[in-house]
Amino acid sequence: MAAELARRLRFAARAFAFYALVALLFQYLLVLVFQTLDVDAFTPLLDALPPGLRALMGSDPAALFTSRGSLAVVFAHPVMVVLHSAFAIAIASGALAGEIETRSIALVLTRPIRRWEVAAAAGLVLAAGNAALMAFLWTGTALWSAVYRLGSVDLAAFGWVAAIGLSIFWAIGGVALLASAATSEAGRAAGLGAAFALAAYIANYLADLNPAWGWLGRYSIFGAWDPQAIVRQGGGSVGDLLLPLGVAMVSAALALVVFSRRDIAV
Amino acid sequence: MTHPEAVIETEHLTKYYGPRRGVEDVTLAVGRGEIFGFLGPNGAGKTTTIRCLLGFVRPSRGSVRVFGMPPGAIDRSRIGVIPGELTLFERMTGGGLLDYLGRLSGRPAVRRGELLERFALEARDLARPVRHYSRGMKQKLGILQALQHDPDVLILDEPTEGLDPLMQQEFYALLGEARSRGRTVFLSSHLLWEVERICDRVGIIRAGRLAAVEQVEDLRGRALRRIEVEFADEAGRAAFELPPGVVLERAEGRRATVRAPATEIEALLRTLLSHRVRDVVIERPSLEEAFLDYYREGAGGR
Repeated sequence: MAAELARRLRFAARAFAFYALVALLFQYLLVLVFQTLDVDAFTPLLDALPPGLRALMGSDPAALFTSRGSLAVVFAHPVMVVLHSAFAIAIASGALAGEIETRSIALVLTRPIRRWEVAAAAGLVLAAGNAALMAFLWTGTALWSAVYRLGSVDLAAFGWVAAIGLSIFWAIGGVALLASAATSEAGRAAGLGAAFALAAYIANYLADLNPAWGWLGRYSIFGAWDPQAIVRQGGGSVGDLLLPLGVAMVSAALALVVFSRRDIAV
Repeated sequence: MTHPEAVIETEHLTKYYGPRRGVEDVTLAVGRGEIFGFLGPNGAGKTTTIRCLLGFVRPSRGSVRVFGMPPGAIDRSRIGVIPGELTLFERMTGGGLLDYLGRLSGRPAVRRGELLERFALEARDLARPVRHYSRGMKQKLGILQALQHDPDVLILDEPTEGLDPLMQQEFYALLGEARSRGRTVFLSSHLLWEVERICDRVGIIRAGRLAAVEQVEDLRGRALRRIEVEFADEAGRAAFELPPGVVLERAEGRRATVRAPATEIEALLRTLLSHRVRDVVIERPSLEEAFLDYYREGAGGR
């Protein structure tokens, strides 16, 4: 399994480098934008925003204009959510379904390696890549706040932000891996992974938008995903991790079972 | 069907993909030191049989055994496979790919150096990414990855696709050597001359069912011979009556072409003695003739 894991890590390295660079650049851009903002001018504007837009800005939009808030919003910014989800879905869908589609998986499956080990190697690369991306963002938070002297930043609280975010993207990656294990086309697997991520995101958005839809938040992996609130409170709770981690673990375990038992017509 | 030293066995192997037929009731055995050819047109069930042998798909009914073990328990380090429609990991270098697959195989690549030399691959070729390889180079790499760890069984699906004639000869020589060293080869091909040249036995699969398993020589022996007869004149040809079992293929002017099994050749020649004949040519039947006979019979409702 070590050889298979090493190959998959090498294959994912280029994608990881690209996503990490883009994430770090985006974070840097947001910090630069924050430095140029006139906070007093923007506060009334925020109050005038429609609820639909305010829901996209977390539970405390006014905190966006603090160093803490602007750094926190990087983690939940739609661009970053799309970027991070795309990384998880691309790696997962290419790993199994993609190699079935190109038939290259035949070279691996004719060797003395069990199918669950092939799927586990893909899952480990996915988990490690996502963890490294989140660690990059957390490191960026520490870096930019020090370089631009943004004041004291509670890095432990940002550690919670990163941990909850990581569990969410593990969940998206897990579902995409399950789709990849069950299908024979990378596009279909990616579509299923993206549909899950989008449905979870929309459910959480609706829950934030209108109290009548609040119950949806409990069933969305994004339900506890409010970086500004987590930073304001000085950290999150283990309970916030349970739903996304549960989805990640169950879907990854199912991916191993499904990939071990299915027909692979290559 | 049993074989004293069966290395590969299928028994009543049946596979359906949903409602679509893959193979039905395929029973065969391939022995140690044998090169077994598996013949059939596209869609006949060759690849499905190989998928079942390798455990890629589960049989709907029946069983598969390699070294006496079901696919899930086979020691795959003893198997070398060239998959059909070979696709390699294009971003790896040739050398990196061989190293990776060698490590996965769990057996040292004891034959790599020799194979590189025989297939005219150099160190600088192996340093290049596979995506820059020509079709033939990729196929050579496919052969190397299957043979570099000197496996006991080779399962080959259209292995010479894309190879130039020189490299094909080298590959056939390799298979001959493998046979003499007691290795077993299961070769799926639609190239009849290839199977005829290197295989000991052949299985013909038609519409998912095994139509025949025979020694290549026996199969060729049972094929209908094509006999061209040139009569002295057109009237002689018109008066010629076919003996039972002989089929007229074509008649034109003084010439007639007939097809006859070996058992009817004597009767045919006796009949011809009563005519004025200028020339008779009896063609040695090829495996292609035998193969086509099977398919003609199949089309006739066999």
